[in-house]
Amino acid sequence: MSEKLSVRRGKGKNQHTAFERSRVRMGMLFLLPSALLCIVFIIVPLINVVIYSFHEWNGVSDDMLFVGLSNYSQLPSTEGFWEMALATIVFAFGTTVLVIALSFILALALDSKNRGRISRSVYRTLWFFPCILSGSVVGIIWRIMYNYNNGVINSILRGVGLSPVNWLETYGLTNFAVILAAVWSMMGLCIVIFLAGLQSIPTELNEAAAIDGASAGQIRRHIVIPMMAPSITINVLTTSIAAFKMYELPWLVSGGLPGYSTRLLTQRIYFFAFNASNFGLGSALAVILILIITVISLIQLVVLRKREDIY
Amino acid sequence: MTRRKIKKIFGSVGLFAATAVFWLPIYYFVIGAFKARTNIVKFPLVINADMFTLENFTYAIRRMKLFQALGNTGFITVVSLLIVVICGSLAGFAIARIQHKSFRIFYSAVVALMVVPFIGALIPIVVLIRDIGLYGSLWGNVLIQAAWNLPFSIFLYTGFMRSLPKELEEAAYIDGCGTLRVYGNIFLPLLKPVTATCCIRAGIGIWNDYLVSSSLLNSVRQPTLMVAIYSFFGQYVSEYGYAFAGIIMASLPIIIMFVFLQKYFIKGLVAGAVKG
Amino acid sequence: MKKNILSLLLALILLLSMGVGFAEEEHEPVVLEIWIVQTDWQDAWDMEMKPRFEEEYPWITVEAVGVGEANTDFILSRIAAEDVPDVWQVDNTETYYNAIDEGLLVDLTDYEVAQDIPESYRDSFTHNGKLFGLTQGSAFSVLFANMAILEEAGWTEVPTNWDEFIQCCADIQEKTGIAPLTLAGDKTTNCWMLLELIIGNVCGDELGMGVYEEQFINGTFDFLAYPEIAERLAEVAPYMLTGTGSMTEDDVTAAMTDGLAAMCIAGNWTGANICSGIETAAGDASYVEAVLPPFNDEGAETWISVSPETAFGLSNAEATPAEVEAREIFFNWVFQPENFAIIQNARGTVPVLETMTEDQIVLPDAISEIVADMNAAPFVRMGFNLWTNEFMDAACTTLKDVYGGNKDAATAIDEIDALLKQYNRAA
Repeated sequence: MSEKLSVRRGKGKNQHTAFERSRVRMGMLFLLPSALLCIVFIIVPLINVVIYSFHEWNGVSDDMLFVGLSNYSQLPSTEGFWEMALATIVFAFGTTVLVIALSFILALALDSKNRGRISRSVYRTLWFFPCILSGSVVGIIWRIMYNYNNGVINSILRGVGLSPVNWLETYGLTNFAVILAAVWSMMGLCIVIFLAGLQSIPTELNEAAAIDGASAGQIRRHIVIPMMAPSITINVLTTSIAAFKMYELPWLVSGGLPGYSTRLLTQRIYFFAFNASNFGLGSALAVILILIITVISLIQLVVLRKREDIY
Repeated sequence: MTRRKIKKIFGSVGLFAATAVFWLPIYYFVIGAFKARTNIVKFPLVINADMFTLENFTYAIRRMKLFQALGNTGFITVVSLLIVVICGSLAGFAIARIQHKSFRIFYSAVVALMVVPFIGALIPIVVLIRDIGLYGSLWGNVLIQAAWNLPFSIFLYTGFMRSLPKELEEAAYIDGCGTLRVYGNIFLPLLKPVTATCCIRAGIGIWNDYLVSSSLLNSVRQPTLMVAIYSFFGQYVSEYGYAFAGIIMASLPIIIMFVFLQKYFIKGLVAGAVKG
Repeated sequence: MKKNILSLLLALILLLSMGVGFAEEEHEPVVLEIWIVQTDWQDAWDMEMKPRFEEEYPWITVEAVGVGEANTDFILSRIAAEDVPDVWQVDNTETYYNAIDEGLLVDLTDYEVAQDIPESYRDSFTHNGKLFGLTQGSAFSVLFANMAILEEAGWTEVPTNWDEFIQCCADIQEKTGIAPLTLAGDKTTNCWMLLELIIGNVCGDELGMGVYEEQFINGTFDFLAYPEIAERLAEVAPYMLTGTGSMTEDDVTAAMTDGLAAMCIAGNWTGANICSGIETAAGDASYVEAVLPPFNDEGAETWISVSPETAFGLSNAEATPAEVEAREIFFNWVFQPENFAIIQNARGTVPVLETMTEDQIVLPDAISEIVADMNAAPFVRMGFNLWTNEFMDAACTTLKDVYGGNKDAATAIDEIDALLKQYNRAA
């Protein structure tokens, strides 16, 4: 009796594991195409970019010369490197701050009862719209608008009796001009996320506070902003990563001028590799950029793991 | 009461004005596309019947190889989305529904890959595509787009399938169904919403891509929309009308989709922002 | 009998010749990719060149790619991929050196059409002993002036030396309020043009022809040994139209058409557009004036900057025999005078093909008046014949800052001097 039972149990276990094993085998088969694609087209290039960064190579010839860390040590002394590093930081930081501030204000306005007759979803669609345009398109539009002699912005300024502004050739101002174009194209996404966050705040909370005699400002400070903390975090991280990755939009707007003040490191990677035929130097810069973005993204993932409920 | 009313008027007028300013660039380029250069410069914000012309469009279509570019971009987008959806959902199923250590490791790797910026790997990718003989072929572009959009789609599919109840496939397994049939008959029909999210999020990125196609394709034999518009603008910088007409035509398909499917668009892009 | 044999023979010959004719028609269709760098003659390509060639050779389709002049990235990535076109426009810049060294371009030394190009132009497209391109013409820098504006400022003649030029700029600015000068700062060739004209006129007479170029390539040219370079740059910079640093050639044409600037420094290749632009702005063709830029001292010779125009190179990349044959046919066809005239007339550059006759050459009026002067003037080579891409990028970035009023000329020249020492072709 007991023997029989044990046999049956053992058989059951064997059956179970056999079944499990076949499922695992099937699962591996399911994973295979994805794994292949990711390994060949993402992981291998990532390994290669590190390898290239230790070599001197023009991208065409068969001989790659191992130079150790020389590409990395050379980078800071290349033309305009620090200006470009600063430009990248200014661009990413400025874009993030402006996007967050403006879209938060707008989300509040859209959420408020004072927004007038036009419905929230219409406004939301209108503000979201630029998000679907490509970086090239946005860059071209803003470049034309900023043109000193013929652009619409200066036409308007002249029209209201102000003097025109040299948007694309003034240190500092051009940074702002480029940031503004990026902000225009990225705001919609943040507004939508903020709106979702605002709508998740229970109305009872606001009402209770109002009954207790809290002013609008107090409600905003003590209820809305703390409740919005998760959406703010998400928006800050996604916007800053997107800004660090940006390539053609800022380039089309300003061409990196004046000086190197709006030229970004992403654009420099391309220049090193394909204009100066120095694949090693370009790869070294690429590795650094990957590291920067990875660090920010990891912070994001850590934060998000705690807040899986948001989506 | 009156104060509240004033506030309300200020709020609504202010919001309306802000929205109008925000839309100024769009208004400017849309009407500009139907005007000659001198009229764009002299009267940037108005249009009337005398100014109206379609010449910008005919010129841009001829010079931009628009229809060819449209075909190429469409092909790249559709085929790479197909690969992303098939591979992503299969992988997501395996990770979410089958317990094994290697799947968990794979998943962590995939999540890590989501954060890698494409520009960082651009140089070796150009070399790789050249070495495997796919430089200048749409398929090279398709493979790169598929691969780089896969991690996020696997992430989405995994998350979605994990949220489904465990009982879902148990009965089927007891009935003797194979894993493939469980995936095909039980899970696949449930994946519609997550697939829509995934397609829109990846699709917009692929449609609007400049960097991949400009680095891997021959802009004559295989022009894509954004490369065509970029180089077209580069050549006719001061002819604003051409650029505007080109922009409208290159973005029109996605704008039309947006108008009809805006709910999904917003959801798809927000999902991307929240998780990616 | 004899008749029979004769007819048989005739029939045989007929058959044979038919067979040959048939074989000729049986060419498999070939599509050639042609890269055109200057997009301003693309209309001429579409309307005249392509139809004419394809009518003559129905089995060959020629597809032109308007590469654009700022498209170094595109060209380099294609060279890196060894995916090059069949016939391509090339320059004597390092962009193409990899392609030449890797054998992607045919050595044209022994080609028949090469003998129709003057030797000095063949020399300028020789790299490591290989003739890699045949040039289509010669380009030089020109000062275009809108005389309606100059007259308003009290100048009935274009200035003839540097001091007059600066005085004229001052008068224009003061009396008309219009910007005296502009150029296409966004295009590296034109951005550098102003400086190389200054250099030529400041040190040309002392150094002699060809010396600046040699020193530049070796990185030994000393900008600081000639303080006048920085001084003159400082003198002229304030007279630039706002926005000059980021303007393309297209923008310059637009600015001249809109009457935003009185004069512009530009290559003769944009002459036709600029002249008709000035005509629009001034209202009459007689107000259009083109001269060699008068950057010389009073009484001294005017130095100009010149360059061979972009050349045509022939691909040596692997291809089927039919493709190779088609390439050669097209390449040789381009350099037949009657075909070459299409490009020349669309571009308005001065042709160098010795087989071309006078009646085939058409130039804008303002330009044709100064061709003789151009041919006689001492010259320096345009920057892109001499520099590396790193130098080009950094030096032009600095110069744009000067044009935009963000940097003083002396600092800029200091920087450019240091740049040349670091990034030169000899290094």
